[in-house]
Amino acid sequence: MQLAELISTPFVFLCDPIALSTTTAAVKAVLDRPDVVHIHVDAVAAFTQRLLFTAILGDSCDSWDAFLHGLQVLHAQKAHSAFVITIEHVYRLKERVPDAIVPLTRLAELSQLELTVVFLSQTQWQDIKPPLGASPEPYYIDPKPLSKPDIIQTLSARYDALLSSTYGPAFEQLYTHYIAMVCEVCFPFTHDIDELAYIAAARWPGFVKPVLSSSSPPSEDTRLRLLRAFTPTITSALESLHPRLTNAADWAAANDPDPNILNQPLHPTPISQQPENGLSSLPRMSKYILVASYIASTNPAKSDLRMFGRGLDEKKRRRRGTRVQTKTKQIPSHLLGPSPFPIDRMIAILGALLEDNDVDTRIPHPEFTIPGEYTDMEISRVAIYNAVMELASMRLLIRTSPPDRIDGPPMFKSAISQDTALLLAKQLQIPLNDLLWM
Amino acid sequence: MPPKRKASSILSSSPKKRLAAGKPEISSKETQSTTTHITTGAAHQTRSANHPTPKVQRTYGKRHNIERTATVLENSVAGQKDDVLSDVNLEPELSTHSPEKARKHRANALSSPKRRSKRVTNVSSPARRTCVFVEIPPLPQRKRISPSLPPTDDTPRLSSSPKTTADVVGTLHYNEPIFSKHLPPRFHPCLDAQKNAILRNLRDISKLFDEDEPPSSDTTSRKQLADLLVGTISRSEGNSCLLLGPRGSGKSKILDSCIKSLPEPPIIIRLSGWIHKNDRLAMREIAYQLGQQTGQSFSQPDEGDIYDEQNGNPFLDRPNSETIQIGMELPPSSHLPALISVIPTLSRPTIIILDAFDLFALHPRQALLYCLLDTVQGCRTSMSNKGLAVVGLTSRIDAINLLEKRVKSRFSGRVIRTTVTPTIQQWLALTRRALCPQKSTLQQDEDVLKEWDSAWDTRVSALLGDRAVVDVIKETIGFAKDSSLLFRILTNTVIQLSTHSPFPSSAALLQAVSSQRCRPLLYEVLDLPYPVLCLAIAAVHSMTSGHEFFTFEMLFSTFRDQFRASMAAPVHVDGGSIGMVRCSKSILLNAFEHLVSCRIFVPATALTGATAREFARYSTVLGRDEVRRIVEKTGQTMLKKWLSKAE
Repeated sequence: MQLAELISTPFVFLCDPIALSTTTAAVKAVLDRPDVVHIHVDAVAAFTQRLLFTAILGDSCDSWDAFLHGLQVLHAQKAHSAFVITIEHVYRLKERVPDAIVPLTRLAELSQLELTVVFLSQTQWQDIKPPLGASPEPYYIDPKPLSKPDIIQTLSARYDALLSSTYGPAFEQLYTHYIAMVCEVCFPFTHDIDELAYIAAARWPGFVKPVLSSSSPPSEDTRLRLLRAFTPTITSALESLHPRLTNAADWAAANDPDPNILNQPLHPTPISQQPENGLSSLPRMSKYILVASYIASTNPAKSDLRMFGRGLDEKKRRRRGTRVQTKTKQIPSHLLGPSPFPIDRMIAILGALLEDNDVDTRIPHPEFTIPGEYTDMEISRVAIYNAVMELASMRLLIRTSPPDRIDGPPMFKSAISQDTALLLAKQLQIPLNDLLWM
Repeated sequence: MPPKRKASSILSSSPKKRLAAGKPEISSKETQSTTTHITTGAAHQTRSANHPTPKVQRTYGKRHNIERTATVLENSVAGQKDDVLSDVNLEPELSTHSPEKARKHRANALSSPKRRSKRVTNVSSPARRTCVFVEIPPLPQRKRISPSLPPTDDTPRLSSSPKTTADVVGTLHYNEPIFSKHLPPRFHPCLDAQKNAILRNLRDISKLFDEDEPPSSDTTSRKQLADLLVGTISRSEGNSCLLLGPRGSGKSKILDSCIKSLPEPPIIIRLSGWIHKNDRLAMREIAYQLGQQTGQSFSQPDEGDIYDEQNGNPFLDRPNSETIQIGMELPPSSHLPALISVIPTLSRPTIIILDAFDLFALHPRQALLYCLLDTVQGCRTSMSNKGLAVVGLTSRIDAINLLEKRVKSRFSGRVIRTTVTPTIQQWLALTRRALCPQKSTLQQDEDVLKEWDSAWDTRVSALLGDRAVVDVIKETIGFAKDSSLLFRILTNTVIQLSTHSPFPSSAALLQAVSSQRCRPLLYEVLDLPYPVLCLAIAAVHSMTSGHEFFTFEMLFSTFRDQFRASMAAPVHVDGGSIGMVRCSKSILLNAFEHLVSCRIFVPATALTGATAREFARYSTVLGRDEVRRIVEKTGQTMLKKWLSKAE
C-alpha cells in the first residue's frame, strides 16, 4: 500500500465507499510498525471536541491549544518515529464537530511537527471540504476494491487458520470450491469481503456435514452434488444474513440440513418465513384496529365517504374519482408512507369494517333493532381506546400529537407495512385491496 | 519555435525517445490505461498477501516487454555510439537554449534598471504607509536555471564531461545493465534511498526553494521583512506588517527564513485564526507561549492573578475542577490590555505571528488586534523597552479593509506581497530539484551509487525534456499556481516507482495527474454491486417522472415492476437467462442504507424517529449521465435497457 511510504505527507485523504472497514483494517496493519506511532480515532465515537482530543492524546484537554501542546509533548517522547493519526468516518466529524476539520487538516503546520493526518472516509473530499478553501488539498488515495478472484483467494487462504484444527487438512480443497460457490452466488450483491466471509462461515458447518463421516476428501461427483444441493440455501443465507435479519449461529441452527440430503432428490427451496413480529398473538379487535389504521393512514380523508358510505347509490362505491391529469404521475400513497389521522376517523372506519365483516360472527342480540346499532356499541367501548393505546405502546401505531394535548382528537399513524396489513386482512377475511384508494 | 523543433528532431533520432515523445498523445494515453491496470494489480497484490493473480503478472510482463525491448533495441542497435550521440545531443539543446536566454536577458537589461530604481526608491522612502506591489519582472537570474540543467551538483558532471557518462553507460552493457527488465538487486537500496529522499524533500517544500536563487519578487519582500524585523530586534522598534499572497506562495517560508537569520533570537508567539476563535483563547495562548519562552518566573504570577481574581468572584461559572487543576482556565477579557502591554517590557524583543490574519479581524470588537497594534504604535525606543513586531499572514486581499477604523489607524499599513514562481522554466527547475535531492550517504559501493546517480539523472532529464511532460506541468500551473499541487503529483509519481519500473516515466506522471489534479468521478471508477445499481437507476426513473425526492418504497416498487416485466419475457442467451436478477427487499434496503451512508442519497428532510426508514425522503446526487456511464461500464444489458427507458 502506498500509505507506508506516505508517512511524510502531512495530509492524506483515503476514500473507500465500498468497504471502509476492510480498508481501515488494512491501513492499521500497514501502520503497525515499530517505527510508526499510529493513533486511530473513530469519529463515530469521538463526537465532541473533547472526546476527539481524548481519543488522540489519551488525556483530556479542553481546547486546541492544550491539544497542540499535548501533541508536542507526545511527539517529543517518541522523537524518532513517524507520527500518524488516522480518523475514520470523517463525515461524522463534519456533522458533529465541524470546527475540527480545518485544524485537523492543518495539524502539521499548526503544531510545527512532522506528522501525518489520514482521513478515512466513505464520502469524497468535496463533500467534507470546508468552505473558502480553508483546508489544504489532501493527497488522495483511492484504494481499489477487491475483485472476485482476490476475495476467493483470500477467503480460501483462511482455511488453515480457522478451520484446519476442526476439520483437518482433508477438506481444504472442498473449502476452496465452497468459497468459490459462495462468491459466485453472493458477489453481485455485496463486494464486502467481511460480509462474504460471514455468510460462508454460517453455511460451512451444514455444508460439510453430509460428507463429514468420511475423513477423506469427497470425490468429484460427491462434491458436485453437494454444491448443487446447497446453492439455493446460499441465496437464502444471503437474504437473511446480509441485512442481518438473524445472526449466523441462529441461521445455521435453523437451516441445519438433513444428513442424507445427497441421497434425496433436489427439493425446492423452502420459502423463507415472513417475520410476523408477533402479530398472530394479537386479539382480534386489535387486528381490526391495525387494518383500520392502515386504511386511515393510506387513504385520503375525502375518499372515505366513497369507500365506506352506505347510501342509496351504492354503485358509485369503490370507484376512483376522475382526477385531473397532471404532468407528473401521482405517487401511490402507500409508497410515500403513512399519513397521520385523527383517532375518530379511524374508529369510524373500524365501525364500517366491523359492520361489513364482523356481524356474522356475533352472538345474536335481539335488543338491537336498528342496523348497525350493535357495531356502534362495539366501537364506543373503552376497550377500543385501551387497545389503541396498547398498540401505540407496541409501536404498531405511532402517536404523532403530543400526549398532553387536550383539544382535538389525538392523531396517530400506522406503522405496519403493506405486507403485514395484507396478511392481517387475509386472516380477518377483509378484502383490503378493494378498500385502498390507489 | 525553432529550438523546440530542433529538440524534437534530435529526439527522433533515438528510437526509444521517439516512442516517448514523437507521438506523445497516443502513446501516453495507451500507457496510461495500461498503468492503471497495473496499479490496480499492484494494489490487489498487496492486499491479497502473497498470492499474486496470474492475470496481473501477465500484464506486467507485457508492458515491460514493450518498454524493455525498446531499451534493448536502443542499446543493441545503436550501441555505445548512440549513447555518446544522445549525450552530445544534450549539448546542442543547451546551446540552443542559451542564445535565446541571452537575447531575453539583453531585453531585460534594457527594461530592468528603471524598474529597479523605482523599487529602490519605494523601499527606502520612509513613508509610513508603503504598499509595495511587486509585479513579476523577467529575471536576470533565470539564465542559470534552464529546464534541463538546474544547478545541482550532479548535473554538471553529466554535462561537462560527456565522455565519462558515456563510459559509465558503456560499462552498463558489460555488467548487468541498470535499464534491464528488472532493476538489478544491487540497486534496490539506491532506489529506496532515492524515493525516501525525494519524499522527504517534497515534504520540506521550503528547502527546495532555498537551494535556488529565489525569484526577485521574493527577494524584495524578503528584504523588506528582514529589515522590519531587524529594526524590531536591534533598534527596539514597534512594527506591524501584513504578508499578503495566495496560498502556497511562500508567506510562512519567507517569514521563517527571516526569523532564522535574525541576529538574536526573539520571543516568537504563533497564533492561528483557525484555532484561536476568540480573543480569550488567543490571550491564554499568548500567556502560555510567553511562559514557555521566558521561563516560569515571569508568566506564573501573571496567571496567578487571573485565578485569584476569578477565585474571588463567586458568580463566574467554572467549567469544571479538572481544567482548573491543569491551569487551563480562560482569562477574563478585561485582562487583555494588561497582558499585551507587558510584552515590550520583556527582556527580549517579541515577534507575534498571526496566521490567518483575516479571521482575527472577525473577532468581536477586534480587541486583540487593537491592543496589539496600539502597543506596537506606542512602542517607544528606549533602553528599557524591547521591540515588538506583529506580522499577519493572509491570503485575503481585502484583509486591511476588514479592520475597524481605530484598528486600521494603528496599523502601519505595510503590506508585503508574495507571488508564486512565475515561469514554466522555474517550475521545471523546481521539479528537477524535487526529483534530484541530496541523498544521505549510503553504505553502498561507490561505483554502484555513481552508476545509479547518473542513470537517475539521465532519466529525469529525459523525463523533463519530454514534450508531454512539459505540457502537463504547464497545464498544472495553469490550473493552479500552487506548488503543493505539483508536489502531490510528483509524490504520486515517485510512490509508483518499484523495482519493475525504477525510473519516473511520463506515463506515471500522467496517471498521477489524473489521480491528484482533476480527479475522475469516484463512482465511475468503482464497480458497484447489483442492488446499488438498481437503486441508482430507480432513482433516475423517479427523477425523470418528476419526483425529485423519493422514498425507498418508491424505488422498490419501480424495481419490482421492472423485475416482473423482465420475468414476463425471459431472454436466454447461450442457455443462461440475461434477465434481471431477483433481489429481496431486505437486501435492497441494505443497499439503500449503504448509499445513504455514502451520501449518494442525501436526506431531503430531517430524519425523525417517527418516520420509518422506508418512507424517509431522499434525493440522489448522481445525475442520469453519471448513472449511465456507471451502468455502461458494468455491461449488464438489462440494466442498460431499464435505464434507457428513463430517457
